[in-house]
Amino acid sequence: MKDNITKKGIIIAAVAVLIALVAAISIGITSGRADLATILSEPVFTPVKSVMTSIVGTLENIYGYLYRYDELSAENERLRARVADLEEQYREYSEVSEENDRLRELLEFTSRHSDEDFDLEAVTLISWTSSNFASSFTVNRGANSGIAVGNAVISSGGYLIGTVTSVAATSATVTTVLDTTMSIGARLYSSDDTGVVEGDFNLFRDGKCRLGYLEFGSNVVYGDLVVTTGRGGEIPSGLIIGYVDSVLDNPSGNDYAAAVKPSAEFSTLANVYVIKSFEVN
Amino acid sequence: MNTLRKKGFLRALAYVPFLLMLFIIQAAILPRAPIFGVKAQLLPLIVASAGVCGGVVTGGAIGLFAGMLMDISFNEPTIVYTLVFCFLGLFIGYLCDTLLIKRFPAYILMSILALAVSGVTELIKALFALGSGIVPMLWVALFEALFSFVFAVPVYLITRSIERIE
Repeated sequence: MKDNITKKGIIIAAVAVLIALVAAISIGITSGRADLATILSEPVFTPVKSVMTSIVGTLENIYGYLYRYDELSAENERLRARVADLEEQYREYSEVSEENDRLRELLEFTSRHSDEDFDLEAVTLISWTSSNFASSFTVNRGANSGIAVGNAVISSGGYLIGTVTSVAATSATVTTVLDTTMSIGARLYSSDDTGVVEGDFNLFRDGKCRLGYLEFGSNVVYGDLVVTTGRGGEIPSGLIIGYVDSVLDNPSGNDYAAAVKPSAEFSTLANVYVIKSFEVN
Repeated sequence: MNTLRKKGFLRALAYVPFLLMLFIIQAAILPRAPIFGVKAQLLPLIVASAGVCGGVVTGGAIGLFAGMLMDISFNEPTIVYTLVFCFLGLFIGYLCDTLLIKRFPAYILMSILALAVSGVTELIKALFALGSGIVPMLWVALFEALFSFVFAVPVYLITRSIERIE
């Protein structure tokens, strides 16, 4: 009996090693494509996560409505009915208004970059990573929609959110600029001093990232816009990353560093845009 | 023999929705409700409870699947946690088959071990990636373990019920 249990234990361990090996090899071969287990689980988990996200969203809406309803119940019947009616109208108006704002921001973004031709793919955020040491999320479009590893991801306002780091057929993983594995060429908009925006765990908890490797003597000022340099060709130049929040102490003293607050509001992200390709005219 | 197989099959069948439920809560619900910016992890708890209640084979098997789901919930390839949780489940199961009494105190001890192993794994991965100071990361790992521990009792009770299926 004991031998049988030991044998089964060894078989289970061997299966785990095999799965990990296949995943590692498949990543090595396909460079950035999702591994086998993700590809196999994707048809099941992507819809499940989508449904859960929408259910949680609906419950939040219902909770919000009930909360307002309780407040209004103190008023008389006529006013309550009137308020409920107005509330319904307001909710509809807000939805339309938000959609309008998003589209207007996108229009402003495309006019700001009128000399560049972007091929954008609108995607919906499915779920955030459950890790406390990383900042990434999955979206509901993948390789089937032409999304590829390295594509830049922007908010409706055109602010850089991050890049695509893994792609499956119908979903993709986006790693944000806050993540400690991220590194993007950036420059200060006002002075053209260049550096590198990268994730820093000490700043990550506050929703900030680090602009490092600025030349000694660079003119770093609070509120300076930080934009992409476009070096490397994968991310367009001039995308707004955020603004300088504070100048950091640099123990080496050879260069300057600053904390950057991203302009995109990560906590409220729902729809984002993947830049599948771009041309500078 | 047939009764044993039937029992094993029924338990395995019961573990599937339980694992999926924990995965959905961890991957889709808890990230929307972080406490002080920290999200709880439920999957390490089921590895501990399966090892304690079910022994080495159940611990290893549940560890394998929980590890895969953990990797998926982190948007990462199924490598690190798939291996770590599988071996953790085997280890906890072995301890409970040979040394510990399969009761709640043993589970508490093992769930602390599972949460610690999970946190340290995440911490080591992060250290490799960025090489920044360990102290703020330790605080996050500690708070993650504390927050996750809140869910320890319900996970144990459900696992125990599954293991009692006749």
